Order: sequence, then C-alpha cells, then structure tokens
Amino acid sequence: MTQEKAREFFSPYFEGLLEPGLAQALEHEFRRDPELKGEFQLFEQTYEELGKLKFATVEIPFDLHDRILARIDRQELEAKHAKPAWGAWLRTLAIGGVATAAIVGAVLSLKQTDSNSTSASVVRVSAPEEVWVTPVPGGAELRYSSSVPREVILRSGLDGAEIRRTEQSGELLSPIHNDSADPAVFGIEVAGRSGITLLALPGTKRVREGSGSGNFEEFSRALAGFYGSPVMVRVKNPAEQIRWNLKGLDSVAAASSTLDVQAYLVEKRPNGLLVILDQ
Amino acid sequence: MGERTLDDALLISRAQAGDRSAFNALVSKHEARAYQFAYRLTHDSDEASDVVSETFLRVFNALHNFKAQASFITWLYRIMTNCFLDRKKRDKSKRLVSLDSAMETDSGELQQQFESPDRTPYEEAERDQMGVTMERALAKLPDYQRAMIVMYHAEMMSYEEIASALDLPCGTVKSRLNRARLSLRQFLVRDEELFRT
Repeated sequence: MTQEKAREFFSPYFEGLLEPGLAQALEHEFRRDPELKGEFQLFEQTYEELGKLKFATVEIPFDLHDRILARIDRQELEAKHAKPAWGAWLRTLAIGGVATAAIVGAVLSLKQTDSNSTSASVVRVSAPEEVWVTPVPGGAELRYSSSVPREVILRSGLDGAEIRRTEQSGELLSPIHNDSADPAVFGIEVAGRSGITLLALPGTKRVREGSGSGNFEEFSRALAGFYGSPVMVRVKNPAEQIRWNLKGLDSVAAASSTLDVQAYLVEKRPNGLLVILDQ
Repeated sequence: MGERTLDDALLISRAQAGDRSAFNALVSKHEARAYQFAYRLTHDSDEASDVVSETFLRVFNALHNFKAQASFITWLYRIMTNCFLDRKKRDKSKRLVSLDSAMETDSGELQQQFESPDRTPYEEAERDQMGVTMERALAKLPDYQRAMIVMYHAEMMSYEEIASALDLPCGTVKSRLNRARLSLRQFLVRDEELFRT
C-alpha cells in the first residue's frame, strides 16, 4: 500500500468505519512505516481539534430577522410596482459640499397629475406611525404608507440643500444608503406639516471622537458615527444647542445622559434604530 | 409565538398556501442556525447576514417547488452553501484571504476600515490560540472544502446529509472531506506554535 493510498483511509479508520481487512492492512503499514504512523497521529490531533468548531458560536445580530423580512418585502414591493423608465438615474446621488450619500433602488408609486409630473427618490415621513425605519447594511430602509397624496421633501440635514421633492400616495419603500466615510444626515419634511424628521446614517468609518457641541443634526451625526448605527430624531426644536461627551457601548445611555430626560425620550427600537423624540 | 413550535412540514404547507406569517415563523425557527453556519464560512457579521437574507429570499421564491418528504434543513443548507459560493464568485476582486496570505499579496496588508469601540462577535467568543490557528488554516482551504468541513464538524451534519445538501454522492463527500482534513493537517504542521513542546 502506498503512503498516498494509506492517507485515503485516515478518516474512515479514525471513525471506525474502515472494513476490517483494510484496517489490518493500514495497521501493518503503520508498523512498517513510522513516518506514516507519525502522519496519522497528527491527523488524529487535527480531527480532534476540528471537533471544537461546534463550540465556537457567535451572537446573532439583533436585527437579523428584520433584515431578512425587509429583503423579502422589498422584492414583493418591487414586484407590485413597475419601476419608472427613468429609474436608472436614481441610483447615485451626490450632495455637493457634504458627505456623499447614495439613494439607490428607490421604488416609487407615482401620482401623475399632469404632463409635468416629476419623479424623485424621496422618502416620505409624515408621522411616526406612517413610517417604518429598518436599519440595513450601509443605511436604512424606509417604508411609508398613506392613503392621500402628500408632497415630500428630502434635504441634506436640517436646512441644507433640497435633494428631492415629490408628491406621493400609496406605499413607498425606499432604501437610503451612505457610502461615504463620514456619517450623513437627511432631513425629511412633509408639506403642510410642521417639523422635520432627521435620519442620521453612519459612514463606512467609525468616529472615535466622542465629544462635541451643536444642534440635533450634529448630535445625531455624532451618535451615528460613534456607535455605527442609524439614528432618527423628531423633536420640536431641532436647533437647540447641545454639548455631548459620548462614551461606553450603550448609545441609549449616552444619549439619555446628554439630553434633558424631562424633555426628550430616547429609546432603541428592536430593529436597532436609536430614536429621539419629544416627551 | 405558538407558530414557532410547529413543525417544519406544517409551516411549509401553510406558507405554500400563501400564509406569510407561517413563512415568517419558519424564518424565526431557522435563522439563528443559518447565521451560525454563514458566520463560520464568512467570519464577517455583515456578510453572514447578507448570506442568510439572500438564502431566505431564495427559499421564499422556491418554496412552491419544495417537496414535503424532503428535509427542509438539508434544503436550507444547500441554498446557503450556494449563496455563499455565488457570493465568493461575485466578489473575486475582494477575495477572503487568510492573515498569512494577505501579507504575501502585492497590495500589502489588509486595511481595517472600522475602528469600533465594540469588540466583534468573534472576538467576544472564547478562543484559545489553537482556535486562532485552526481558523487561519480553514481560511486557506478552497471555499467548497471549507463549507464541507464546517458542515461536518461544526454543524454536526452526517455524510449523508452533506451529500444530500450538496447533491453529491456520499463517497465523494467522504473522500473530499478526508482530503480537506489532510490539507488542514499540512497547514497546521507549518505553524510551529501548534506543535511547540
């Protein structure tokens, strides 16, 4: 029996599954060839070490279930709504002067009022109960549903450049990605309604600096960058000035200790989204 | 939550009839196990989540073809393995490399993009040095062999189950696994730390 042939029998021999005749032949080779026997002993060690693989388990991501269902939901929604012919240009959107963000794969249900109807990859948020935000890799997925058409404006931050404006009814599912290194903040307004919702998305690089000052736009950007997860803010006075010093692993604790708990509610949704609201 | 305790056959039957909540329950029942397998193959939390999401999407789309007498788990592993291998083919330009081989590439060492204050899930798991060495050796295996090793030794699947999952003859699975173990032995022997006395 050659060494190469003998090696083919290592696994079944170790497992006790080699037929008796072949097992005897292999044992004869071990006695005759100490080098082969040495190889088998190393093989035994390897096999036993492989047995420890089953003990190495990892924590399941808190948002895994949401991500799976969001993926399926997106496919279902795309199947229901035909993409507009001009959908290709929605793929990448650069915001001059601020961190680049990409709005990709938006699914729209357009309401064409006249020949000048516009299209946009705009996310619409009118009230928290109409919108679902699900963190996904690289960004967030926003689902909005309304029975009446409303004009929606997406802008850069609190009062930055307007990105898109559209009128929307029905159901809209729109992913928003931030492919830049730095966190990015979007402001979402609904025409005719007061207030703005801020959505901060982390960038590809985590931010190490945890201290700073500014308004809620800057604070949400800092939180997203430091903790690496999306943050949604809906407060009456987003221009309020705040000083923060983020530390520790708990984003809820960090945000709560920064803000006036009498005025603001900080919570983490089951899907991992950090939310800051008025009390 | 009652639906999570129902067996696969009943959940599948309901899901095939259009009951979305039954499908969601099927996901809940198997997602953790699916993630462990995907993570063992990819060693990356986001990639593992992507593989699992893609897997269940394919399950959702193909469930109407699933025959009740087959094992859902085996089918799930087949889809997961295919998702993983498809992804590796697509991502050839950013192939997974072991720590050793990364230092040998022209592009130099891998850059770490995230500077996270948190430890990664794998860093939080208890690992001794041997575990690290084994991990490196596994990363050097061809993707297909690594999948089979993980299926047998980590997922505790039998040769027959792996053969069914990969649609291969049982004898082929046994010989490929033996070859994978022999390769691992060679990689480990090269690492002097393992056999330092």
